[in-house]
Amino acid sequence: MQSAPVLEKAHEAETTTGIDHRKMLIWLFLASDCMFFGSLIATYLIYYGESLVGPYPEDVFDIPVTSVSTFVLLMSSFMMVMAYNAISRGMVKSFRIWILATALMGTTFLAFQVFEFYEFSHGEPPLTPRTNLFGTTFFTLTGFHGAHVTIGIIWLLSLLGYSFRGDLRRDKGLNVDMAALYWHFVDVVWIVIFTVVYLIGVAP
Amino acid sequence: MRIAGIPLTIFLPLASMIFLVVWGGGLGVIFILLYGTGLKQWGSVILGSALVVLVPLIGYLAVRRFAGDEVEEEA
Repeated sequence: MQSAPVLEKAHEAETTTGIDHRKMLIWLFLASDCMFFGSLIATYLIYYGESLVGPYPEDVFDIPVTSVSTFVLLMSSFMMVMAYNAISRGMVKSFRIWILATALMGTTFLAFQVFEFYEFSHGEPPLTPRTNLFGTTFFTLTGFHGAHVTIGIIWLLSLLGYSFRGDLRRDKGLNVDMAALYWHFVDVVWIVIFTVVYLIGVAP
Repeated sequence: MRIAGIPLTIFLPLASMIFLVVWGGGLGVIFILLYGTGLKQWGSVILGSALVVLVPLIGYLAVRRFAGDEVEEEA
């Protein structure tokens, strides 16, 4: 095979930063996403305690359920590390198993969000984005996070599909590296949301 | 490359979304149904905790079973 070394050489082209352009781009995207989530969390905090009518955080939050969903997301990050470790060692079969497990756990997290949103909106009194300031800021923040997780899962499963075409090995795992960075970022953002919104929300 | 006449770049995200709706939506409905039983929210806590343990365990066993003979590539 003559073409593979040429392709690898092309990927190792020198850059002014010393970092691959695609990896630099994902870091810049994550930096912008930090500001995006920062503004959503700040909005939540500014309006915290300003709702004129209930339900309030302590009326709806169920910490045991959210703790389990948080642990599900943390475990998915661990399996993402296993997937990246496998692909960086050229072990494609192991990679496929671990990336599928990561996507499964991410989807389980979304299932918890479906359950939580359903229970909130069908509780007595119900909490919807139109109920009060808490509902508006809470659903906007957690909804956008859920959208990020959804995009991450589509990305991970697409990588799984592409691995059957042999693309990932040739790429030296850079595509997986970028997806892993995004996935860990989404995980870290959830830790902040869980602490700021849920734990502080039920604190006396 | 095409699968069933659909370009791979469209097929893979579409298949991923179907997976999301089936697994995520299905499990979400199971959580809601469990809440309706005497278990209340503890049904989803137990099922979620079981998945946290079982998915990595099955992953580990699958790697041993199907990829145990995989050889590390030279860098």
